[in-house]
Amino acid sequence: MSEIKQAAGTPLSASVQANVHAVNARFGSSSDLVVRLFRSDAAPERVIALLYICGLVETDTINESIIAPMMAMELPPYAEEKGDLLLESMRACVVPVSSVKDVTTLEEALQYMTDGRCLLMADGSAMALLADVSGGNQRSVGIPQTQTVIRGPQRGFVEDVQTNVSLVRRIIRSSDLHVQTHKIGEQTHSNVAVLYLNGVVDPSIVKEVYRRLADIDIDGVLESGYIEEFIQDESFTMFPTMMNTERPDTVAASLLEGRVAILVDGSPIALIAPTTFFSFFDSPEDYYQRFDIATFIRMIRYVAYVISMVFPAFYIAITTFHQEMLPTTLLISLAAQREGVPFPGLVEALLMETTFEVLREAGLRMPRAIGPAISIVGALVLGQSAVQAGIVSAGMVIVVSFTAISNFVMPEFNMAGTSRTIRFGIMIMAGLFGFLGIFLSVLFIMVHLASLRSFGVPYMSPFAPKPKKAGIWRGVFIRKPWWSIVLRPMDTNLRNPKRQGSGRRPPAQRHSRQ
Amino acid sequence: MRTMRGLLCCLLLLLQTGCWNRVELNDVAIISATGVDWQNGKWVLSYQVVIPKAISSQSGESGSAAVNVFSTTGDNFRIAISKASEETSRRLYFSHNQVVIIGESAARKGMGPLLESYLRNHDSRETVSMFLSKGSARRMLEQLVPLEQIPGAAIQRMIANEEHGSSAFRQMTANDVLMELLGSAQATSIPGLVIAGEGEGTDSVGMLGKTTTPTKVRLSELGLIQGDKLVGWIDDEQSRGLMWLTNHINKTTLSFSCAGGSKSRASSSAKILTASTKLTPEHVDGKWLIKAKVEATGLLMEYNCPGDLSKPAEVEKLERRIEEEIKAVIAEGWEAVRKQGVDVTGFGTLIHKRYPKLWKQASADWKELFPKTELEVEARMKLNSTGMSGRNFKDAQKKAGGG
Amino acid sequence: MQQIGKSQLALLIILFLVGSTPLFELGIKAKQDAWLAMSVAAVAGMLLLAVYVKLQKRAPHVGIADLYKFHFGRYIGGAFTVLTSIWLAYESMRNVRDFGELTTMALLGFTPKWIIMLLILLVSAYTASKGIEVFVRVVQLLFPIVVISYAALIMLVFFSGLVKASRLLPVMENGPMPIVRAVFPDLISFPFGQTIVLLVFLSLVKEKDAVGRVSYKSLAIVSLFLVAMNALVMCVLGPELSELTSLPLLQVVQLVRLANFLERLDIIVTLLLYIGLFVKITTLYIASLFTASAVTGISHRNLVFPIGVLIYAMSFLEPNNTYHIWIGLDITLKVVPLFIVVLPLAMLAVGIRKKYRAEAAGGNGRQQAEN
Repeated sequence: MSEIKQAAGTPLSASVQANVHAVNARFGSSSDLVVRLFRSDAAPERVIALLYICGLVETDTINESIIAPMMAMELPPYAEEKGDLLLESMRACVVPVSSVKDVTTLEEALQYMTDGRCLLMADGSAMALLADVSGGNQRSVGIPQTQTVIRGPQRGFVEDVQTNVSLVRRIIRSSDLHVQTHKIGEQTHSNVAVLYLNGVVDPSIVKEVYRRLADIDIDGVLESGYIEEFIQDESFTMFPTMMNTERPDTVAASLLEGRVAILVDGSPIALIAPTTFFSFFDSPEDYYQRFDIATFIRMIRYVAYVISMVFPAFYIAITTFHQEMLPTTLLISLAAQREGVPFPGLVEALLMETTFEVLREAGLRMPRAIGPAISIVGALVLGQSAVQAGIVSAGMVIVVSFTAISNFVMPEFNMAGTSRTIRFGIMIMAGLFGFLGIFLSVLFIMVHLASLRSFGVPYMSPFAPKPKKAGIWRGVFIRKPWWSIVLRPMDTNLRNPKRQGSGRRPPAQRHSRQ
Repeated sequence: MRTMRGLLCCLLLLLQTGCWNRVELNDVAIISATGVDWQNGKWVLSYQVVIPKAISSQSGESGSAAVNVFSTTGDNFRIAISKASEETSRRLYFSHNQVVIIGESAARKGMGPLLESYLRNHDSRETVSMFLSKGSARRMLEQLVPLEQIPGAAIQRMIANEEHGSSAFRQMTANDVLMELLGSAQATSIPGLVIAGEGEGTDSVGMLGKTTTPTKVRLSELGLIQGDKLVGWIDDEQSRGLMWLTNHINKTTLSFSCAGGSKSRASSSAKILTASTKLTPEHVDGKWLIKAKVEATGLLMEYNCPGDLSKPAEVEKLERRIEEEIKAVIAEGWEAVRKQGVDVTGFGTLIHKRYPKLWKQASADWKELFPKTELEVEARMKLNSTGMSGRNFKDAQKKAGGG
Repeated sequence: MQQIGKSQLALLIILFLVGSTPLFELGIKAKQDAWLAMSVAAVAGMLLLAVYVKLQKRAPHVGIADLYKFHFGRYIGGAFTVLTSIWLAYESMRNVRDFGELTTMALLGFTPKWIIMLLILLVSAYTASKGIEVFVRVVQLLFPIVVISYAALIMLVFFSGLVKASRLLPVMENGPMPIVRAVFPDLISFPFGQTIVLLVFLSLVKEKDAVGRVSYKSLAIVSLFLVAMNALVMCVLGPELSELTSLPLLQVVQLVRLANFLERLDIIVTLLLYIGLFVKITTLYIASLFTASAVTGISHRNLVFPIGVLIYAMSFLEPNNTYHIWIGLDITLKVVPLFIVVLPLAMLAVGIRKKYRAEAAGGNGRQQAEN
């Protein structure tokens, strides 16, 4: 997992012509490969070649910071040993460019060129220079699309790892923020950056992350989801064991808690590990808002999650198995609604749930312009008309809609997907065995959750097992006031488990000085 | 892959065999009240089935009744119930049954089989209210009740209203009945229902269109049960006395006369807000003496006697007067019960708990001992308020005229 | 080597002993003194637990199988281990069967028992295959649910005014004999004697010196709770009705009516019943696995399936509920004291044999080697 595989590849030749030819051949004369040959006044006899891939580089920078100074450069007087001297002068010329690197092999040169560097070669030298002029068109940093907050920073990750790392670094301005970049993907050579806060994080977890990343051997990584599936603890689970976020502030908060973040080239979604089940219920906004309100909202989230998982199943179980548990008046009105509905409750529920999932997926994929049309069809035609036509009962429509809405309360999209999928299983069990089915399904899920780990951390901590650090479980359901959050909420061997000194409670009433 | 295939097979298997207990809401006949009669040597069970469509506000056609009543017969309860499938398209569903009405004939025959069936089956709930009916229970189920759509629920609410507001009767759930019949004295009391009024009964929706209904279901008299059989009735006032004695008064209105004694007209009344009765048994030369200590608080509601209530002494006098009245009510109830010889007062249980050793001897011939038991009542009444006026209206008028 | 923490042990003891016990009015043979019988049984259970803890102290790092071996020698001890393993599986089966019976009785009358029992056993087997660590975590997750449900239940029963303390009178109507007869051997075998299963798990506790304290404390808490629930049911139903109904707590809850809305709370009771039975089934299942694994040398993961099949097969031996209860009360009760009283006392009397003494005391070194 070294930075670049020490290319024991083809060495560059001393002839520019040969090298250009070789590069061109490797790229299969791709049209986006730009080759510019020129001669400098300093050594007019030697051809200088500049190669880059258009689109990946900043053409203006090349013109202003490389070509122009090089044309004007002068060799020092002792022009005898021209060989490397020219190259040194060139290096000195391109100072305006941020980084310059030497290469001696063709493979290495090619690799860096695809990263957005330009290759500088001078005739007569078997060494080449790589100047970092990467640029080109990229999405600019904007508002996070998938995780919005009302109060809080409005910056989201983009597709470029460097930018993303810088976004985090802008929040944590400390040398303790360590970034290690790996290249993963035989073909894509994607940059994968591992971020952690040195001195806080449990070093064994970082080591474990590296170990798992090193095991990956794949041709291409297009999104962080690829990485996630390779390094998560258990493959056959519906529950995500790594958090996904598009927000630099969430990443920063996680790093401060002693977690590790993984950023992947080409994806605005960062991975955070280790993660516990309960951390999926925290929205970054919880920590920006007043603590009492945030606590209330967080409770709502837990309730909504349970609803989105079991509410339809509950409805099926009650209306088809345990009618005695309904208040009489409710039973009678439900019974009146069901008169003439042709399907059994389970089928009715599955039908409506599937309809909703189709609508949701359609809403996601369709062109934006026809969005409202789908909403109308979904809400009016499928909802109201289906009830009026007596195909489904009104109660079922209410249940399905409420469940659907509840599902969107979750701040983490992947966790919401889990509950949506599991819901169908529980519904079938409820349709077969009533409450027994629900109980067994939920119990099964609980056992499963208890058996999961995320990078060695039990998934259900700090509840099961109870943390070694007493009291951090309280922070799960309640957003404590900031001055009382003394411990970092992770139950791992953090280097520095405290995030602030205790006893920082502000006085109850602060008077201005008279 | 293999596990997936296995899971799929399991699921299919489950779906094949599934739905054992599943019953859709439109496959059940929700029963709101049940009637039990004994006719020609067989149990006759009557069911008041709710028709949800007629009730729901969406399709509320006022033309049809919200319930339908039918009966089945059989040698025992469950066979009678199972026979219902011969005449109804849906499964009878008892979990929401709120009221059981036992016809007089059935009650005299014995309620044992009914209670047995309640204990054994899960779908019948012990919170159901029990009533006796003079005459056939089925007739009670057929009566429609103004204000309420489901007559069964209406009867249930009526007894709850009575229990909290007037306390002449109390709600006897199947559980209460079971507890008392299994208790030391093996006796209980169940309120009765009658159809009051003339005519053929309020059994069609059309009759509810008028401002008065020809007949109505009302609570009347308390049936006394010994063992599992009905042995006698006591009337409403006696029943109220019994409620005082057994500490079942929640709120009630007590009327009293100015002078006392049974001759004078009870022209004034007080609302009793809280009442509690403590009973202590004592064994006095072979007989039992029960000391009852009644404490009550209340408001003066209506006052047609002379006397200026702005003076504390007058109020105290009034309180003594009310105490007398309470004692009289209790005595009336006690005499009635004693005459019937049915220990619905819970004296037996009381003695059992207090004097377990003596009870062992007494329990055998408690039936003889019970009527010989003496009752000593001590009452304490406290008037929290005499209302917003001092003297009564007539007095004030006279004074004004005289002055 | 799997390990559990002391707080996990405490919760396991509590939930295991609570199990489905509050649902039944145990000790009803003593009529309204059932709660007294429970208290006496709890004290006796405490004494038994003291014996077990004492045994465990002799060899803190070994389970029941090795305890047998250390006390009775390789062959007799091995035989007892096999018997104990089978007995634990049998006890697990009884709970599986209870699960089936109670479900058909209270919830799903027409659903065949084989499928209900199969399902709960599958979940149990899944848990067992994940190991004791995961199981105690599940117990930790279930614990708050159980506490909240019981608290809600008790509050509702109180608020609905059903509780009449006078139903506990008269105390000791027929002298102390009925109480004693209710305690021995019924109540001592179930639920309190079942603490024997701890001998399998105590050695896995990380904090060795806390084992005794935690066990006593948990047993004391459970006993108080069970006695209180017992008295509560009696205060609501009275001796006659509690004797008559097969699921008194369910009966109690069915009587709760509050505000015309909070009624028919059977679901809470059913939930508690299921959780309790699940914990019992799985604890006994895992205990059986561990013991069997100690005597056969097969890893417990590989034994999950055979023992599961054994439990499932055994659960069909009894034709119906009456038979099930009769076997439970008449036959099992004659055998159980062997495991919970006779063998431990015998071990206590015999003492560790000389040749194993070093191993028992030096378990520490071996343990670390395993780690």
